[in-house]
Amino acid sequence: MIRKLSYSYRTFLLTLFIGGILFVSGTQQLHAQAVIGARELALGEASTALAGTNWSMFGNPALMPEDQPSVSFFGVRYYGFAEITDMAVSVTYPTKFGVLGAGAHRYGFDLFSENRLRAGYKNSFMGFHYGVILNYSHVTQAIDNGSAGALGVDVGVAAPVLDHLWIGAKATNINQPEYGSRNGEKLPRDLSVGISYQIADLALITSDVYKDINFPLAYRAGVEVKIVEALVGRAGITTNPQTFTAGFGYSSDRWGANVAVQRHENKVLGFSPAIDFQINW
Amino acid sequence: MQKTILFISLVFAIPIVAFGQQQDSTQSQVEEDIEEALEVFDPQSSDMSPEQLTEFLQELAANPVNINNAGINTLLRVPGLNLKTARAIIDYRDNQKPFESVNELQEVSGIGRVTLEKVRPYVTPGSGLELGKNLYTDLRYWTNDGRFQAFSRVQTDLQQAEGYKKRPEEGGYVGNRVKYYQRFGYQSDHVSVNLTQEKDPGEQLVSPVKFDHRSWHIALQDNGKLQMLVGGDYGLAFGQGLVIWSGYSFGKGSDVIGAVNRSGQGIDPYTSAQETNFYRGVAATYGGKLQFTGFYSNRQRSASEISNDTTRSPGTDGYHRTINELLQEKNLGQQLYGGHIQMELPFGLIGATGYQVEYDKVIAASDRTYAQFDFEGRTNSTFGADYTFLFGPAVVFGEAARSQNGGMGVISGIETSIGDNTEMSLAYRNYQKEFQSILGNGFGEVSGQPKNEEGIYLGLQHTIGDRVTVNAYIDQFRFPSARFGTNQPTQGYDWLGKVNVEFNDDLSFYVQLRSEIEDDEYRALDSFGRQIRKLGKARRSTYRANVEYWVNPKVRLRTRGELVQSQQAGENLEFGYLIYQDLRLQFNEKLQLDTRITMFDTESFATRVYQFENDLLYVFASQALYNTGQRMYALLNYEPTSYLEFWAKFGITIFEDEQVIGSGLNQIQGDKRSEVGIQARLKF
Repeated sequence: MIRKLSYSYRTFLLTLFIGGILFVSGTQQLHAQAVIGARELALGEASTALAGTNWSMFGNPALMPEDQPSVSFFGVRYYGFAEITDMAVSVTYPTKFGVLGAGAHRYGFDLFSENRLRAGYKNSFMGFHYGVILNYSHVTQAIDNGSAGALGVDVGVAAPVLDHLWIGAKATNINQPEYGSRNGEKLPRDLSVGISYQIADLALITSDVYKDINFPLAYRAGVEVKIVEALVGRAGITTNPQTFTAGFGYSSDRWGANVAVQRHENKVLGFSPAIDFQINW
Repeated sequence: MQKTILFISLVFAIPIVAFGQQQDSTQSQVEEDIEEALEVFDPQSSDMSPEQLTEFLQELAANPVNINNAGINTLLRVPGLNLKTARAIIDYRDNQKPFESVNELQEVSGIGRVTLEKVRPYVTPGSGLELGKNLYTDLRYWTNDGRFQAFSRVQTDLQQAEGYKKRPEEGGYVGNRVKYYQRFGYQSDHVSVNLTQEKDPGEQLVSPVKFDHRSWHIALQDNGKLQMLVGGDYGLAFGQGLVIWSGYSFGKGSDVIGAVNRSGQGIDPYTSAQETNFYRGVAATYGGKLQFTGFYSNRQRSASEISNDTTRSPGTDGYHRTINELLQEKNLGQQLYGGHIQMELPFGLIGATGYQVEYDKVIAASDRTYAQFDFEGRTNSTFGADYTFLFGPAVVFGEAARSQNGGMGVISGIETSIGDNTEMSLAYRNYQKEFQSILGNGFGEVSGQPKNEEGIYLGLQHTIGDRVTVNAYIDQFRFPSARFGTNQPTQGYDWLGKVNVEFNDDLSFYVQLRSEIEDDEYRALDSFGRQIRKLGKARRSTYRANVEYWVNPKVRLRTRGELVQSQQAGENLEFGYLIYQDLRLQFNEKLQLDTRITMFDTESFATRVYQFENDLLYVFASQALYNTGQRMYALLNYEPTSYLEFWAKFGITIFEDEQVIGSGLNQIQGDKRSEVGIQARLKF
C-alpha cells in the first residue's frame, strides 16, 4: 500500500513536470481535441459514420439527428489538468428545410485559449446525407497579448449502405483558413472516412481512417455494447497517437449522459476524464 | 478562399429537385476504362498519347458502334471485342436475327457478362426508326446521321511559373500561360471533316486563326468498297503495332483480357491535339474481304539540331514555348509511304504492312550506351506480317516484322476461354535490340517503339457468380541490351491481382495489388572512394482499396485508399499513400457535379501516387501526387439544351512545408498550385 502510494506520487510529480514543459514551451503544440463528445471519445473518436449523434456539429455534420432537437454539454480535462480543458456546447434543431445546428467550444485557460463558434446545416434526400459547417476560430495568447481569428468551412457526407451499416466522410477547413495576416498560421485540415455497423440491438462497431494534413495516417475504432436496458459500455482505440478509451453511457428519449476516460500512449500523461450531458425534446 | 466558399455554397444551396433519372452508368464505364488505361501510364517514361486514348473512348461512347450493321473493322474498334467476338456478332445478326438491345449480345457465343459490361458504352443496336430499318431492311445500312460539333476550351494555371517571369531573350516562354483549344468537326455516315487547333501554355498565339498547332482532315468512309479515303491528317495502326502504330493502345492494367491483342484499326482520321503522333498526306483503304491500304505522308517535324544537316530523332512533346524550341520548329522533313494488305479468311485475318520513311537530314542517335542500337541515317523501312486466327474458343494472334538494318521483332499470343468462367491471355514477345521500328508501338514493358525486349505475359480473368470478378496477370521481361538509364542488360517482372465484388447494383468494392521488380543501376562508392555503378533491384508496389456506392440515382460516393511502396536500387524502402473521398451529384439530366478531396503523404517523388480525375471532355487528367498535401477539385458539366454543353473545372493542390513547387521554367513560388478550365461544345 505504501509502495503503491509512493509510486503514484512519483507519477504525479513527473506528470506535473512534463505537463508544465508542454504548457510552457509550446502552447501551439497542444491542439484542441478534434473530436467532441464523451461517447465519441469512448468509441476511440471514430465518429465519422456514427449516425445521429448530438455531437455531429463537431464531427461529421452530415449526421446531425433529424428526429428531435437537442442540446448537449461536454467537458474533458486532459491528464487531469484544469489548464488544458475542453468545454463545448452543441444545439441541433430539425426544421422543414433541414437540420440547423450551432456550437461553441473553448479550449485552454486565461493565458491561452482557443474558442470556436460553429453554425451548421444538414439535409438529406433518398438516403444521401450532407452537411456543412461554418466555423469561426479565435485564439488568444495573453503572454504576447496577441489574438487572431479565422473562418473555416467543414463539409461532410454520409449514407446508409444497408439498414444499419453507414459510411461517411468529412473534411475540415477545406478553404484553408489562416490565423492572422502576417505569420499565416494554417488551421489544421483533415479528411476522415468511416464506417459504422449496428449489430441488431446488441452492439455497435465503428471505425475511421483519419488523416490530418500534418500528421501520419491514424486508425480509430470503437465498440459499444448494451449492458442492461439503456445502459451501454464502450471501448475504443486510436493510433498515432495510440490511446485507449473506455466509458459508459445512459440514454433515454429525454436525456442522456456519458462518461469516458482516455489513456494516452505516453503513460506519464495518464488519464483524461470526459463527461457529457444531453437533453432532447 | 472565396472561390472555395462559393463552390461550397453551390454544392449545398442547390435545392433538391425531382428525382428519377437513370444514373450515368455509360459515362462511368467510359471513365473507368480511361482510368484503367491511364493508371498504368507514367508520364515520366512514356511517349504514348493518353489524350488520344481519352478522346477515342469518349468519342466512341458519343458515337457508339451500331452492332446491327458495323463491319468487322469497326467492331474491332470497340475495346473488349476481338476478332472472334466481332465475327460472332456478325454471324449472329446474319444467321439469327438483328439485335434489339445491347443486352442481347450476351446471346452471342464468347460474350459473357464482363465483356458485355465492358463494351456496353460503345455499342448500340440503333434506335427508333433506325432500329426499325435495321430490323426490316438491309442490315448493312449505315445509320448515323450527320452531326456538326464545335469545341472551344480554355485552361490556365493560376500561379505564374518562372518561365513567364523571364523575358523570351533570357530563356523564358514566348507566350502566355493560357492553353487554348478549338475543334470544328462534321461527321456523317460517309463523310468526316475536321479542324483542330491548339496553343499550349507558353506558346504564342500569333492571331486568333493562327494557333501553334493545327490539324485537319477530310475523309470519306464506308462508300462501297472504298472503305476509307483521307486527305490531311490521319493515324495508322496495323496488326499488333510492330511496324506502324500511331493510334491509342491499352497498356498492362487490370483489364487483362485484350491488353495484348491490339487488332489494328487501319486508317484513322485524326482529330486530336497531340502534336506529333500523326501523318499528313493521303491514305486510302479499298476492298472487301481482300483490302488494300496505301498511305503517303509528308510533314515537318521538330528535332534537336546537332549540325546543319544532322539532328536527333524528332521530338514527341510538340512544345514551342521558348526561343530555342521555336528555332527547332519544323526543322526536319519526314516523308513516308507504304501500305497494308489484309485478307479475311474463314478462319481469321492475315495481313502485311510495310513502309519507307525518309528524312531530309541525317538522324544521329545519342552516344549513350542505351542508344547504341538506335536508328541513324536518312531512310528507314520496316516490313511485317500479322495474323489473327480462330481455333474453337481461342483467338491466336501475332505479328513478325523486320527493319531495314535486319533487326527483327515478333509477338504472338492466344486469348481463350477456359471453361465457362475463366478467360486467359498468353503472349510472347521478342523485339531484338537491333530492331529499329521507329514508327511502331508494340505491347511491352516499355511503351512506344518496340525494341530491346523479350517477355512473356499471362493474364487471367475469372468470374464467380454474377458478383465477383478476379483479374490477374504476370509479365516477365528481359532487356538484352542497356535500356534508358542503364548500361547493361537488365530484367524484371510485374504482376497484378484485382478482386472486384459487386454486392448489388449500387455498391461495389475492389482491392488491387500491383508490383514491379526490375534491375536498375545505382551509384555507389567502392572501398577506394571511387564512384562505381552497381546493379540492384528496384521495386514499386501499390495496394489499393476502392468502394463505390450509388446512394440513389443522383448521388455517387467513392472512397479510395492507396499505398505505394518504393525501393529504388541501392536505397531504402519508402512509403507514400493517399486517401480520397469523391462525390458525384447528378442533379438532373442536364447538370452534373464531380468533386473530390484527396489527402496525400509520400516520402519522396519515387513514392508518388497517381489519381485519375474526371476533367473537361477529352482532357487527360492523371495527377501524380507527391510529398505532403491536399488536393481538391470540382467539375461541373451542364447541358442546357441538346446542342450546347458546358464544362468547368477548378482544381487546387496545397503542399505542406514547401516554398516552391516544380523546377526549371515551370517552377512556381509558394505552396499552392491551382488551375481552372472551361469548355463549351456545340453540336447539331
